[in-house]
Amino acid sequence: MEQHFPYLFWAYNLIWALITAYLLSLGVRQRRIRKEIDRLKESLRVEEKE
Amino acid sequence: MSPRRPGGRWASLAQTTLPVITLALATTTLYGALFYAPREKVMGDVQRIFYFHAPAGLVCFLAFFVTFVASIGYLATRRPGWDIAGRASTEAGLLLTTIVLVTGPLWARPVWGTYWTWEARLTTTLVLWLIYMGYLLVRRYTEDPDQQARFAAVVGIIGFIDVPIVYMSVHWWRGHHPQVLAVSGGGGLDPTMRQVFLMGIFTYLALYASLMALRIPLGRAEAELRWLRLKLGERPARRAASGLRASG
Repeated sequence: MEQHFPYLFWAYNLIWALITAYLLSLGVRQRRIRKEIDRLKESLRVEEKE
Repeated sequence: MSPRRPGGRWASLAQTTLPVITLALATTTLYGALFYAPREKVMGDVQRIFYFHAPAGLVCFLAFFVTFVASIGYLATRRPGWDIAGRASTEAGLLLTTIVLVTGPLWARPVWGTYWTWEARLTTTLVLWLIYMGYLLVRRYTEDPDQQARFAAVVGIIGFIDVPIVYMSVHWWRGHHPQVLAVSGGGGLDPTMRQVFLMGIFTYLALYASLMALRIPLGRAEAELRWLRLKLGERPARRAASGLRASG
């Protein structure tokens, strides 16, 4: 059964990879939305001044 | 009035502490799975996949139950907070189901001699994954946030029917999949294996809580973004504005 160690190795590594990929996607979405909110708030401020 | 500000004191505390707890639990489970739990006599080391595979399957049921409750909550109250919670829980549940679907075949290949077989537990789990992908994709059919949330809530309620089917599939159809939790009377898990298995469940519960703590503020930020776009007239879906303002 020693030859089956690669399956265990890949299973554990894929779990970490999947979780990391999801966390990165959350980070990317968070940054993009934050940036867009800041841009729209700035537009709103300009609109209110006018 | 703009919608509620994303985050807050409790949210930021949860976002800081929960990932640390999750990482500590994951490290302990990893140690337990690799060094503390005994080597299984028949399957050998590949059985150690079980400590991260089976707990993910159990906690994904919890995630989809939360989606089910949130879906009912949204349809009953039309409060966007329910939809945000349901969506966050669905994404976490999908991540856990993906872990189950990826690690399962890696265990099956050396034990069954094949990565995949259309066995009841495997098939119903794949159907579960597809249903909740549908929960997320159905939102693309409309621009109206209320309609998006309603469509998804219907999928979240009907889709939950598959959860007990997945759980009971090993009893109803008696396929190849092991019935780990059903075994009793001394024939079940070795006590050390059970300890590591329980640690695995706690790890995934902490991971689920961490993901919710990270995803819910993002959902609120998305709602804020929609509200700002409506206010500035960047999007035509005026009807949704009342619903979003109600979330404030």
